[in-house]
Amino acid sequence: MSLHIAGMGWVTPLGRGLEKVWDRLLRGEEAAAQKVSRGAGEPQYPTFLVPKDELGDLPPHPRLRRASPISRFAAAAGLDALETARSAIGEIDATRIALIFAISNGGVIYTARFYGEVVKSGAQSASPLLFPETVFNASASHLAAILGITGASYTLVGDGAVGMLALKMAENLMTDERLDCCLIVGAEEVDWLLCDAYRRWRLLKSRPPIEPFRAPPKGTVLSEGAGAVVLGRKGPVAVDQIHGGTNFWRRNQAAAAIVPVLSNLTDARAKLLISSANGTFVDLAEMVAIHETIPDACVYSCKPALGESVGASALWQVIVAGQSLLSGKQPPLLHLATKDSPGSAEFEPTQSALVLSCGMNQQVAGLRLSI
Amino acid sequence: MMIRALDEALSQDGQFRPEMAVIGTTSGGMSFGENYYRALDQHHDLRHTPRWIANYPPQKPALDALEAFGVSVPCHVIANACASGTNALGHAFDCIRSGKYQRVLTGGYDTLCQLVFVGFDSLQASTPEKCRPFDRDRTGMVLAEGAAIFALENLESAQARGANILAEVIGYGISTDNHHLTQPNPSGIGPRQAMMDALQSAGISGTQVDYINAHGTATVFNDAAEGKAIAELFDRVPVSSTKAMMGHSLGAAGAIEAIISLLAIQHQFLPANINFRAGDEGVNLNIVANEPRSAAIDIVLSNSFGFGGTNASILLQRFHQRPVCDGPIAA
Repeated sequence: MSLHIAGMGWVTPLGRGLEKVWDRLLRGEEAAAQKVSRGAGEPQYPTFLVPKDELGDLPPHPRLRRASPISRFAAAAGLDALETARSAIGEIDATRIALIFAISNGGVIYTARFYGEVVKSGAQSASPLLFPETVFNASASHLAAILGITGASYTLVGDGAVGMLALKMAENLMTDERLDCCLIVGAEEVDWLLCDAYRRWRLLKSRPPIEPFRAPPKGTVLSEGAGAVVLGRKGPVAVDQIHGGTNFWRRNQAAAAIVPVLSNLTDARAKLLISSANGTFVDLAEMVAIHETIPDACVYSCKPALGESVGASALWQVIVAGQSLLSGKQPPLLHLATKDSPGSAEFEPTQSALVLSCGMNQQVAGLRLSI
Repeated sequence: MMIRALDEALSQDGQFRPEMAVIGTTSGGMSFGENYYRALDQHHDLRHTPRWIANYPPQKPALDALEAFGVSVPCHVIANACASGTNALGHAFDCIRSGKYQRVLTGGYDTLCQLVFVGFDSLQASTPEKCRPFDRDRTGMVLAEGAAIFALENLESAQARGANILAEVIGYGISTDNHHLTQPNPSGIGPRQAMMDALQSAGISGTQVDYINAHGTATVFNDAAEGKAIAELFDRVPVSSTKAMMGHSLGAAGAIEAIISLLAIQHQFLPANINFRAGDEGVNLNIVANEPRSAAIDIVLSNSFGFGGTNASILLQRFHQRPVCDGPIAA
């Protein structure tokens, strides 16, 4: 069974639309940081947010009236991916699609609001409108309702590698001949609480930029948005192999977890690696593994430009890899700290690319694409 | 809880070497997130916050449990609300049946936390009284917590190594009901489709099912929709919801109830639906009311439904020693 990427869509801090965001990445642009805070006098955190005017044309579906940003990002990316997929696989029957949703932190904005009211005013103030939106599969439910999907819908939770695990799950589901395709969507939203948590976790940088492969790492900047991929049996980009993923228990074990993933995926044609370098310990683990497995590869990370969007990030990486293969172009790796780091190799158009996703909470996965 | 459940599962078969884990949960480590939020909000001691934050991600309990037993395999954590446990078991079944995997650890877990407790209460879905699934005077669910784990293996592989096979998984169905984020379509179309898919997946008819372990939360809406779908699809098959005895453990419920279904097969009894007095008007269900009953049970259907309109049904069958053919998966 051969699987292909039939369609792609993304909503990012650099805007929405496959070609629009890609062109901005090629030009070396990066998102402008905006500060979020709990309120006046409280700590401020830099974030990369989706421009507010990017979602104006979403369908006026009742499910989106009160939905949180994460659901709106997911709907936009999912609809865009299906639209681009139609040119590869024709009209899509919603009863023959499976939806797989990748999420990490979930609907943090409504969750914080819901729980904040409970803490502040007691259980009697709990909102029955907000609570359902705090459930991890709320965004998937909204998207399924918008698309009319009545079959399989799964929400996978995990760290930054969860999007890759969702693609693996889609590969497993596609063994069912009753499915024409899978829509895989990764999404994330950002608020002050999430930033505070990542700062206390010592993963957040106090100000941009994200500096990939810097030693010692200075931290990342969180971002929001969604990425969506339609996985079908035909399409312009082939999915050669998806590694099922592995885990590491301590940060200093991350490199050892990445090495077998990269070794398993790499082949003679793979000259490009879309890395998950985000300015944290992940970068150094990836650097060690890259030196050991594919030292000559051209390495790119979109996170200095788009931020660390956790649940959405692996899907963004896959889209970058697909666009690189199809266009024969590669954006510049921004804010590269040292000349001898993995990102310094010259890009040459290639027919095969690897995508590596090392999350910040113990999970690693990857895949290989080709044209 | 995950560690205890995994320990119990693995200690029954020391030779079981999983290639993947598929685990369901609803709220994961939410209680750690609550600790962090309260400490932050009330300016309490924040020294423990890194630990709370690191334990908040919903996949963390599953990964911690795998680490405790030195199991380093890909881990897919499904958060399909209250259907998560059955979805995990079902997806694990699909993965093995596709031939891509031989052995998968699967199950579910959830712990009680304030956010979930208050949330269900705000929806008036939980009851301060007795939990009475399928009773006409039902007033809601009682929340619970727990974990359950299955060691699932391709039948040929399990037989070849002489594993003690407890039961077979023979079918799985999943559907999505787009009626409402928290309420099922009153027609029962979502549960009906999931159950029909499970029967089709197993290649059996409804008349071959001996017992249904219902989702049966005792909420007005769930039991009405599920009861309608069961009554339409099955002819007086005995039905009970064991949530009346054990409560609703959300992401763990499907896995726990699959184990109850397996025990029903092993011990040839129908688990009771306690606290039952009289069913809904016009709904023809054969409720196993208040007392367990002995019965010949070969095949059991177990249902789990959740917020977001997720519906999952799984079919378990008594293991009959025989030459291997395609399809069944040993548990």
